[in-house]
Amino acid sequence: MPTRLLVIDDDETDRMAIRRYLTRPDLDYEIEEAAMGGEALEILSRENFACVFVDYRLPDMDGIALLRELYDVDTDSMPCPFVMLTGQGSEGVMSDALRWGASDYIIKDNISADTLRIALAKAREVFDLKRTRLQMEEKLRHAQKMDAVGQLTSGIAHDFNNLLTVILGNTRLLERRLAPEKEDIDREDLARKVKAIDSAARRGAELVRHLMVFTRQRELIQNVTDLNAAIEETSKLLKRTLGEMVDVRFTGARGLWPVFVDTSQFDNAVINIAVNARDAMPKGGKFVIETSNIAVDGEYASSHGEIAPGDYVLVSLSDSGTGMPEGVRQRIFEPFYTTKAAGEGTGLGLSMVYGFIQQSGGYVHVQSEEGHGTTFRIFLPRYIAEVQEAAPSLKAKEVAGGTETILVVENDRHDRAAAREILQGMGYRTLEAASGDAALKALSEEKGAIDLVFTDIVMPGKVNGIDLAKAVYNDYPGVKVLFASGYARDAMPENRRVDDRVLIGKPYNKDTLAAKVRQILDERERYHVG
Amino acid sequence: MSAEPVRVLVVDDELSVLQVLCENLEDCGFEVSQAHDGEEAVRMIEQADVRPHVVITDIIMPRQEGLETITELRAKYPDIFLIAISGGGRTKSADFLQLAARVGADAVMPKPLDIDALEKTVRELVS
Ligand SMILES: Nc1ncnc2c1ncn2[C@@H]1O[C@H](COP(=O)(O)OP(=O)(O)OP(=O)(O)O)[C@@H](O)[C@H]1O
Ligand SMILES: [Mg+2]
Repeated sequence: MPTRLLVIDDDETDRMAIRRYLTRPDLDYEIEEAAMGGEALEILSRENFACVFVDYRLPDMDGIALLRELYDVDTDSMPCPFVMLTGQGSEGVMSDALRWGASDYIIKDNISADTLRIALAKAREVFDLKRTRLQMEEKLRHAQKMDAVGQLTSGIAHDFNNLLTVILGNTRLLERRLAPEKEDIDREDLARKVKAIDSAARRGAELVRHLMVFTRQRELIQNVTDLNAAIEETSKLLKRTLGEMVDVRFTGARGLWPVFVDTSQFDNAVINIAVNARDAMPKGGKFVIETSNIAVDGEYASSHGEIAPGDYVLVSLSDSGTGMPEGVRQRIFEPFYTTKAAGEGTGLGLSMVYGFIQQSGGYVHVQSEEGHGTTFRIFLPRYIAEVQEAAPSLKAKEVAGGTETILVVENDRHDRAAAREILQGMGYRTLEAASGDAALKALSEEKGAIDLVFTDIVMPGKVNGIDLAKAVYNDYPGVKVLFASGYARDAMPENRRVDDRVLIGKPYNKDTLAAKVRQILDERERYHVG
Repeated sequence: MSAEPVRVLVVDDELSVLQVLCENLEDCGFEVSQAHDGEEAVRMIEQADVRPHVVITDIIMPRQEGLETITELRAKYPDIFLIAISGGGRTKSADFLQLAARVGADAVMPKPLDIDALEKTVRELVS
């Protein structure tokens, strides 16, 4: 098989020279040529070459631009080896060429059979070496990942085996103490054993849940949550688990806003942070949790990184431990990142915390000072009850219909039919028009019969919804208008804005339309438009 | 069997495991003491008037790795029987129980522990 080469140069004489230098009876080269960068890119998108020679000066783009088109930043690689041909003294071009994936360069004045062949060999070797290195790196990454998975499973296995030891050990104790020959049965003692089994089993379940959260096999179960109540509960547990050396304190702000989170994951997050705090305070210390409401404005937001302005509940968790150097602080949320000895930390604690906060639409900010301690600030968005909650009350009143006549003006056939169905269902008589013009015609034909014009604002044709309303207000005193719009109010041009009270947003549902229609028909006044 | 009860020292960093093991071994008629880590265990043995016959130690613990404890005790007290227990190491590929046997454990047992088998092992070692 011949070795395929591509020469990109707009100067035909240069191309011929290269071809001549590379042609020798003992070498089997097949040389393709391109005069323009675009043409070359086209060829390169279809075919691969053993090496590409590219002139720096091309009519449609320079050689660096061409390299950059093909260079893959993520893998730091090119589809094939490239040799850049440059003029004398253009060091900048040479270093740029190497930066953007070329394997070698030749100064054009020095082109000869030898320099070309050497550059060709060198470029191919450099390219192969780099590719091998990339493959090795990829393999290493994979191995590290597998290693991490291995550590995770063996960590979980270790914890599980401990829990099972507790369970089996206690059942063995129960068995002996409940043996028929036993005379005095200490009920309290038995109850303690049952309790120990129960809590070990629960911890096992918790462990599985951790694992599931981590592997994202379980969906979040989000609830409207009072974080004060949640932390109150968890801090009781913390007092027991962190030991006597750690002074656990919790101060919850009064009137704390609710948030919408998976409560058990929030608990996990607090526990993970608390356990880290304990580890950072081998001689004991303080662990303080505080909550507060906080309205994040632009200024605060810009001083706290990427946090978006809005209302948040802030949970801050501080320890008086060792703190950590900046280099560690930046990496703590990475999965499997741990500074603890093998067997002591999986490095998953904070990555789960981070995952939880992200999925809850929140932010976390960590401040740490070596020798003094660490503070985690978790911002979770305030939960504000949806408007939907108002809907049932509207429904409960059972919206009244009527027998009036309504002219539905809408160019979209489906929207028109939908409106007709709803209104007829409520008892109204309906007429239809597909445009403003048609509506005006209907109005004059049906003199006096129409009570309300229900019209889209934006319609093709000479007469839009606003024009139609103005005509109605002028010529038909007594006739009311209700507008429908698929646009946000503020997106409408100034002269097309209408009063909210006579506007219904699309898509609307049956109840809101019925309520709006009834309300407008029952009102005396009409509203100014435009 | 002599009238003297068999003395067992149990070492585990997991409190719930430590407790349940001790209670079971007491039920078996042994005289049981407990330590939460290797350092404490070594200190207790050094300071005790009577040494335990058997030390049962978990392998993964903070402060002093169980393996170090085993190595140290083996060197200092060749007459104490050592049983290593482990729920599987957290470090890949290394089988801690095999390592424990190599550094001098007389018996190795995986967690979850079979209590009856543990009792049997203790009795066999001291007999
Ligand atoms: N409060 C803290 N003070 C000092 N360093 C901390 C604190 N919290 C976390 N770190 C550092 O962040 C690292 C990562 O924490 P993370 O909770 O993710 O894993 P881990 O605690 O090492 O292991 P695991 O939580 O799985 O037991 C820790 O190893 C530690 O170096
Ligand atoms: Mg942790």
